[in-house]
Amino acid sequence: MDDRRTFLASFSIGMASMLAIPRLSLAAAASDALLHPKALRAGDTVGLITPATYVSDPDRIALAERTIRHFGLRMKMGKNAGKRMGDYFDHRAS
Amino acid sequence: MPVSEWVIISITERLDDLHAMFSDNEVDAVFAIRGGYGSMHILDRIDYDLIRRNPKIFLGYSDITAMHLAINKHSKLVTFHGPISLSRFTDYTQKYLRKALFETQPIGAVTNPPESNELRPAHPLRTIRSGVASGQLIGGNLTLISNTMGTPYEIETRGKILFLEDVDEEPYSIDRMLTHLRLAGKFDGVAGVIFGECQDCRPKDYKPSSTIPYSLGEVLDNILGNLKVPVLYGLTIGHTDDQLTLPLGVAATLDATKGTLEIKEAGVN
Repeated sequence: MDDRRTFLASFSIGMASMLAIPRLSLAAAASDALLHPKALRAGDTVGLITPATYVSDPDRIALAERTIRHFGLRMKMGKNAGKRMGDYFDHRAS
Repeated sequence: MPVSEWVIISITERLDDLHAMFSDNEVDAVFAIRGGYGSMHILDRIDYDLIRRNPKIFLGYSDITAMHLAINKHSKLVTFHGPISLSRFTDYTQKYLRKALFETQPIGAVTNPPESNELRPAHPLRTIRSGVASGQLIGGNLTLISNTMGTPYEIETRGKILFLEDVDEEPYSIDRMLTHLRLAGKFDGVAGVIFGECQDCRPKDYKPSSTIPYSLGEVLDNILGNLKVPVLYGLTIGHTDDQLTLPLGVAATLDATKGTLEIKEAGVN
């Protein structure tokens, strides 16, 4: 009985999703309904972060800035992006 | 101070930066300017709903692969596998970054840059298994894909075009990671596979663990050559000077016979 109820339930869900298919847009079906972010335009601001290894070398940060400007973008540096791992000790101690 | 504490502090500060950028209305896109090591630390503390409520371009590669997989899966957002601000940015790299991030039409068919010496190509492509296949594009750095398996952030490959890239890994190490994927069933039901150009991935120093004296090509043929789907080797993805920017989660077609990947859906709108 339980098996049959489960079967009927899944059958009706199956039917419902089959009926729903024509209402999905092609793009949504192709991308499994993932959100797409807005395209970049000249003058937009890019946030730079270092979620893995830090970048503390000012020359490397300057290179990042040069890259962002080359594409006509502005940049905003993450508050902690330039910190070395060692700074975390000091930060906590102060 | 014990090591565990700096890791926790570091995690908090890295998370703060990530969340601040996605919350900040003045910020239109978020670029990771370096990979390296450590993205996995923050995966279980990212606010995925915050990112979904504030969808923005997120760009990076290498260690950042862990974040791509997690954000793609839990924020349901298309993210971008491409150069970091410190990459070499050749004309090819610039061209595909513009196409992927600035243009709302699909990128279309991509392949490696033209060669100056056809006899000795700088970026050789090789068809491991011929054929054409379509599916959602997913992938990234093999080391991170392997290491996130068994976690809530692990890659989903069924029905997808899977690309893998790495750098400076010996063939035995690539073999170990590909075998991990194979045993975990990640090649079951995959639509097609791309293994990117892998610089410095030849056998090097003898180590007791490196008991496989084979070349990378032999390792790839042994594991990927046994799949029943199209497999292409050598596309300029990841750790190469000429580097593609690829939207993760969009519709794509791999033609392993011709050596092209067609991106059929724009990652941005």
